[in-house]
Amino acid sequence: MSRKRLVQGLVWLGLTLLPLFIGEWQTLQLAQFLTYGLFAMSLALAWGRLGLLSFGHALFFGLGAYAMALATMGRLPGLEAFPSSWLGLALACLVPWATAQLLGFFLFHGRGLRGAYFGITMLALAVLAERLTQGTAWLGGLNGLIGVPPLALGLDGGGPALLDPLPTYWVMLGVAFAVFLGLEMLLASSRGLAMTAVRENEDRLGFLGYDVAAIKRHGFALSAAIAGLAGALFASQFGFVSPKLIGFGLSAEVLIWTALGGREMLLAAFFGALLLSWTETVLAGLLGAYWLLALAALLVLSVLFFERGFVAGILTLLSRGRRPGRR
Amino acid sequence: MTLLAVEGLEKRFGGVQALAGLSLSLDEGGLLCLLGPNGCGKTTFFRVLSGETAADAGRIDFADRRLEGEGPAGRARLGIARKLQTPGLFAALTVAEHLALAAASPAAHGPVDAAALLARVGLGEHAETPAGRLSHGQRQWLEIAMLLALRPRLLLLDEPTAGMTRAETRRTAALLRELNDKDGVAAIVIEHDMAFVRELDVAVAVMLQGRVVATGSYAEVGRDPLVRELYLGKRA
Ligand SMILES: Nc1ncnc2c1ncn2[C@@H]1O[C@H](COP(=O)(O)OP(=O)(O)OP(=O)(O)O)[C@@H](O)[C@H]1O
Ligand SMILES: [Mg+2]
Repeated sequence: MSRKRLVQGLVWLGLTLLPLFIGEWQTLQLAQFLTYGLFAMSLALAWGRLGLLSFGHALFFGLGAYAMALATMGRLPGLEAFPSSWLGLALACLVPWATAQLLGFFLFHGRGLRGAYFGITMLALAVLAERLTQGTAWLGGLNGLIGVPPLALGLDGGGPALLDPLPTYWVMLGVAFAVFLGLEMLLASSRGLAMTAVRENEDRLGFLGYDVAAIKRHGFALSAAIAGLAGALFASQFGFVSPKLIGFGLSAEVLIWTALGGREMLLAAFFGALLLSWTETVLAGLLGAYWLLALAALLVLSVLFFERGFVAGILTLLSRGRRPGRR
Repeated sequence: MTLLAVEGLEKRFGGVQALAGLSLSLDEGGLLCLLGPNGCGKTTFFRVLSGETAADAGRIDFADRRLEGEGPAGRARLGIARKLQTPGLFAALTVAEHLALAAASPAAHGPVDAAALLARVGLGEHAETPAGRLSHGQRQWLEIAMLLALRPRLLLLDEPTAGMTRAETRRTAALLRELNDKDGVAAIVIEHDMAFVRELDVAVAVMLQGRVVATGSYAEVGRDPLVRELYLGKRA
């Protein structure tokens, strides 16, 4: 086993044991942050691997959250009597996935939108989605939807439900871990290599015979599906969805988490989101509005000293040990 | 047998007629050096041939098939591999990953022995080095090796020895010779370096203002009075 794997294993083990040493309320809060971590991993995939700097990634998180809320609250036309968590989860992945596929056709094929234009388009879409959500009664308008039920095992929404802090935390962690493993395997495969190559030099990749637009579209859609899954898990824990989940604010936050954690390393982005959300709850109480200042300062420092994110910097140092390594 | 036949290719950029009725043909397994002064349309020809940009007029037949409309990926799948004028690599990927990327491409035309290929271009020791850390000459070779891993039918090399030392240039010439003789890879090489062309000692086509004005061996072309006056006279 390589040292890198050992460090990764220790991080996951630490996260598994962590709730045994903290209070119930903190465990619940951390369980919520795990969904942010999952969200950050989805952005790390799009941005860190495919070079798709999305300024509006909350669009997909929000789509997932609302899909989950509508499904489990029995608000889907024709499916009112079938408020299944499973249906909610499936839709929460499928709707963002399909949305991203569709967007991908317009944004990547043909001449294709590059760099900042792609980012700005995503930003505009997230803002638009936020406004639309605010104005749609079916979606609860400005107030959002209150009373999203917790995850339930039964196919019809009945059966044992995920209520207690510890199981909730572990289920969230399990999902995050499964997604992490799946993505790591994908990235280690030749498909993953092609994705990294898109980030490095997409024009060149085309000359090697690869369909770059298709790689971007499928990768983007996968990222969207994971963001949607994160949104769904968040909604079912929080019991509440609001237009904030789909708009600019959360889009900016996930960008900061991912940038500070490390966009090119899934675990760094994931852990960065956990750490920053956690720090926020502690420091926001202490610092009040100055928290944003502190965050901005942190971002500047991180960009200056850890161009690839500070969690990534630390993990890389640990993985390398004293041996001189590469990358 | 003819691998590539180009007929009356034209391409205009605004007021510049970059290609003005370029015609040229290359046999299966052939090797051709394309010479010509700066701005005569050599790179534009490669760009059109590799599908990066469409010609305004003319036709290209490749392996008994008329090329029309395919982009770079499509042409690569047909077996046309192009080396860019400035090395086109993936800085964060290692040398070995470059070959893996090529070998896994939809354009790959058969299995490759990556280790042997790397040894051949002198990068055997550097399999795990990220491309960004290679020297300029090594980058050029890595790019050539990556293209060879596609097992293409036609290799287009745009100034492969640019920025290389004399020794590196000589090595590149030897590599090209070997590829052509042993593996039968057909190639068109754009070159400014006369010593390199002399060393290769292959068929030469001289371009001027968007068309081919002379073809033949290096010696023959060198005797052509037009070529002497217009091009070689100024340089050699
Ligand atoms: N995209 C473009 N837009 C406008 N003009 C162009 C473009 N590409 C090439 N040209 C012009 O077309 C002509 C041919 O350019 P090309 O790059 O093919 O020359 P070249 O023979 O490769 O030159 P060099 O030896 O300097 O590489 C030049 O006059 C160049 O300025
Ligand atoms: Mg050129």
